[in-house]
Amino acid sequence: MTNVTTQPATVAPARAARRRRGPAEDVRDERSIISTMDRKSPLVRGVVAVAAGLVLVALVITCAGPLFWLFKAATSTSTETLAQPFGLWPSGLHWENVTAAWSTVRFGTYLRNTLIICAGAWFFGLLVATTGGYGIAVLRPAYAKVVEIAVLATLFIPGVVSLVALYLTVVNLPLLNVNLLNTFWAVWLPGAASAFNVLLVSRYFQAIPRELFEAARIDGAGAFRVFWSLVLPLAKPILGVVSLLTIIGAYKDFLWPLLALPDHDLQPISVALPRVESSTDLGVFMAALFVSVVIPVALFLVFQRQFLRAAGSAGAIKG
Amino acid sequence: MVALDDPPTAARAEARPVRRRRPSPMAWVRRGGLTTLVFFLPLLLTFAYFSWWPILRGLVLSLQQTNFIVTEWVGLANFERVLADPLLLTAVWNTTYFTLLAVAIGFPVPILLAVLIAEMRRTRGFASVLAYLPVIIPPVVSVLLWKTFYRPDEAGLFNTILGWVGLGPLPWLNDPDFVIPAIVVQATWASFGTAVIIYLATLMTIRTELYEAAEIDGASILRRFWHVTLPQMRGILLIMLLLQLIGTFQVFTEPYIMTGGGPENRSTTLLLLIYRYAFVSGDYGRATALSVLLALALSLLSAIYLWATRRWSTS
Amino acid sequence: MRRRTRRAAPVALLGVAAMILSACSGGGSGDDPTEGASVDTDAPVTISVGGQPTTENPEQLADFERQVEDFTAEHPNITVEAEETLWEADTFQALLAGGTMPTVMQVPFTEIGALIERGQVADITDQMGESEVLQQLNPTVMDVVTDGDGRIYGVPIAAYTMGLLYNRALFEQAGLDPDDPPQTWEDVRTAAQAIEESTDAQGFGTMTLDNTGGWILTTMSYAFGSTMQSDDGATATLDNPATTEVLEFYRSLRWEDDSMGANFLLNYDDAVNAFAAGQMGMFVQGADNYSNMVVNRGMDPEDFGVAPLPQTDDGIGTLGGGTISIISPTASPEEIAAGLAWIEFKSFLQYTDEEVAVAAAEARIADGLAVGAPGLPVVNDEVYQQYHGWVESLINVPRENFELYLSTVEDLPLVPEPSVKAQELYATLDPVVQAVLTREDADIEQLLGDAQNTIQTALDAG
Repeated sequence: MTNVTTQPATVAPARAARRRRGPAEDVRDERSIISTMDRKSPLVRGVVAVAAGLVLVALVITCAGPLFWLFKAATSTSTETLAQPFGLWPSGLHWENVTAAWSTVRFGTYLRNTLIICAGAWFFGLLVATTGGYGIAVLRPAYAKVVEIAVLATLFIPGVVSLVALYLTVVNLPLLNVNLLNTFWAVWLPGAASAFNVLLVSRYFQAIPRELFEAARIDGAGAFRVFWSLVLPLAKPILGVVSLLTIIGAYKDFLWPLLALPDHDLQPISVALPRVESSTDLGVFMAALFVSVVIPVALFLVFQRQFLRAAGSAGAIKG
Repeated sequence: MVALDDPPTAARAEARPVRRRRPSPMAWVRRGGLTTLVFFLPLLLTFAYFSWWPILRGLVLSLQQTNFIVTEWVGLANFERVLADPLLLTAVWNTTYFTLLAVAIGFPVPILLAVLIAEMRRTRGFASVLAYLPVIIPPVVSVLLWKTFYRPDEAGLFNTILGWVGLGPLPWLNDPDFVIPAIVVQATWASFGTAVIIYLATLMTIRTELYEAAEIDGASILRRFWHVTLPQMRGILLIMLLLQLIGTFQVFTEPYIMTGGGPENRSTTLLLLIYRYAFVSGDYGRATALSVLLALALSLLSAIYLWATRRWSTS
Repeated sequence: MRRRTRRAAPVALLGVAAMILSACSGGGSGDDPTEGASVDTDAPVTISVGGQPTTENPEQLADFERQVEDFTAEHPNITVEAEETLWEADTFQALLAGGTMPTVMQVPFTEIGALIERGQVADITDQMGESEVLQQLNPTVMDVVTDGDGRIYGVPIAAYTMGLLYNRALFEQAGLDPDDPPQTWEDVRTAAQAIEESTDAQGFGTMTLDNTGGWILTTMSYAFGSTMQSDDGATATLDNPATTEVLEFYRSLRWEDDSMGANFLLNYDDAVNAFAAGQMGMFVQGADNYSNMVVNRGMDPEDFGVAPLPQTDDGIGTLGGGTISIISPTASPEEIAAGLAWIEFKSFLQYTDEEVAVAAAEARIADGLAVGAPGLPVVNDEVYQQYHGWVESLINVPRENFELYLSTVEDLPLVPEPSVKAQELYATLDPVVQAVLTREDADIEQLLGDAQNTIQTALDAG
């Protein structure tokens, strides 16, 4: 379930991206392969313009096109979608599909579950990553090295080895004899054991000048104080990245919640949608898909800079 | 790196006379050892329960047979049963084919796109947003959406398009020879944006002096791409290729939802096989044995890859 | 610093080590129920029972809760904890792994063989002897829960035989007589062509995923004249002329008539929903699907048609299946006795008590459920006739539409599912069915030969 391995080296671009501008930012005084000189040549300008135009058109058709079609199908009747897949609303907009998704597919329940899962995954993910990162990078007790290596090691072991064993662990927690199946804990906690997050955060903490901690200690601040009032505020950028990655990861996850939450009433939309696919009217189903897409897409369009920066720095890992 | 700077606790302890540093629990607590441990607890507990322990248990379980009432050690019998399954070869081949195809399309396309987008001046932000849009969609939704696109009858989206030019209808996912390419196209669509954004971020970090120097030497635009851009991106490209290989090797959601592994097991991947062993047949021993084999193969692949690329970059 | 490292590392690893120890010693000790000769049936005992309807079905839930209440009133020493647990292939093992399997739950006929083999179900032979009605079960279905030594591991509570389901409305649209359903496979083919031609629906269909393809192929093979396995389950016989004929039949419908639609990756839900929605004219399915189609999936009751599974001259009967109540392998003898009392109360009281039978039927009607839907009785004929007499006036399904089926259900022999590794057999046959439906040049001989080898190897491995 945890998305597979990653290389510590990918942390490097994270830093690079922090130092540099994000791709969406203003780029006027930058140069790339083609120089300002080149651009003076009409031939180069023409070729670049045509290539850029083609790329843009292709991107619009392939990336935005399917979403637009989904919107169309979500607001058309099933018959229309089947008879004229490319017909644009022959009988007007049918918003009733969306309401039907709420009543017949119980989409609201699944959406609520998804939100609960994301919120919990975010909270526990941050809790583990920040406290652990603080311990490894700042407090540095003698065993920190051992822990760090043990955490790092899990990055190199493909998640697939432990999938079945993780499931059996969750079904019956050793020592505690608790069954987490059909509780949100079963999704929150395994997700929080993310080596990538811990390392990302601890590397960031390491880069904080140690004099700051010394100064704080001389002022009489304890470990908790330093953590809460000094480290966390300084780490806001990386916490933003980790938050985004964790929440997106939790929203997208399928296999693990499928295994951990067999109870239909607890399932997130990603698990519920394939299950209800064949028993749901096509138009209603498309509406359910559409709503599932609209939320993250809307968030993305609002916070594009943060999203793209998080992706640029670390997106390869949570995918 | 712990050795580089003295940790604060150690620094304070060092200031005291050595004689008094008897290892006593009280002293440890007074030095803040307990507080430190409290900070480590969330990490230790979650990792112990949900990462370290399952990894160990997976290894142990591959040597056991259990019905959850009685558990017995069976040595390598689980591995033998995995190797004896005629489906194993099918799954290995399907997974390899899937991976190779996914990398053949999914590796070069984002590089080219990123380089082209990097050349756009006013529309770069818009293009990155577009490229990243499919990544934002939950994979399950994207898979289900494409499943409707791939409808095998005339009402299917792709078949409608084919119909305009007088072709089809094609069976798409129902065609044993086309099912994997069809899934690869969907999977690539859903993920190429990530790579584009990462490459774009890397492209922005290439020092402009390098281009200027190349330009002064009279290098054409294509030569600059070849001699400056690509070498500068080599590090990230090599890592991304490995990550893509490892990631696609564990493909599950797409075939699970789109085809259930069919037709004729032609889209049954290794992870799907593991899933069936464990969660359909209840044969956890066999499932973990296959998991361990897959993990070994992936680790070996990574090791060889890293070794080879290192050799190549030093030579 | 070095010294502290040595001390701290074991601390960090302690938890993991403790877990390893606990797991190695793990694996509980189930009571051996066969030892329990004397059982105190009055001692307080708590049992958990699965199969409670979900809140999505409020009527059925209310009915269930009423039953629990009545039961505990009658058996004050038994506490019943109801849960929604249902058998599902991918979660059942987890119930055992987590020790959360309810004392009583239901599993399909196909599962019981493997459960007995793996020791994952309680032996209830001794406690069965205590109950009168449980001695009067239909012997055909009792075979399914009895092992070679005559020990009993479950109580069949519902049974069905496979039939040919057809959509009466589509038959009419296609100019066919819905009261005269196809009785030979040639008729089926002609009817499928007619439906394909004159309606929007596909004529015939079959499921192909999640082992259902193999299940239906096995059913069809029975109708064409062969089983898939020797009676003792030691030898696979799936490479036989009858199965070849079935696949040829599929091939003609698919590639010559094109009357099986375009999508050949259908699981149970896909096919059942397509049929209920009028997109599929005919398919082979449990004849007990009336409630499933009409009550759960909104099919018009008048459109639901069921015919006996057509048989060739060599046909040996129709496949039967059903639901078995089993008891957790970790249950104590007292829990087994209490569990059986619950099973008897829940599923069999209506066969012994006219009042209960009528009240139950009335309650079902009030809740919009079906009374008298076609099915296969789990009790023996005598008991069933008596029951039928009690509720005859309450029947609310158009039984005249199933006349042919009802008049022959007793004549057509019931052939059980393969007794050993049925699910593996089905899983191996799924791709065979998919191959014939997706590749015009599929080599049936080769496919069956390979499948035969695979299954024989699995059977030999034991």
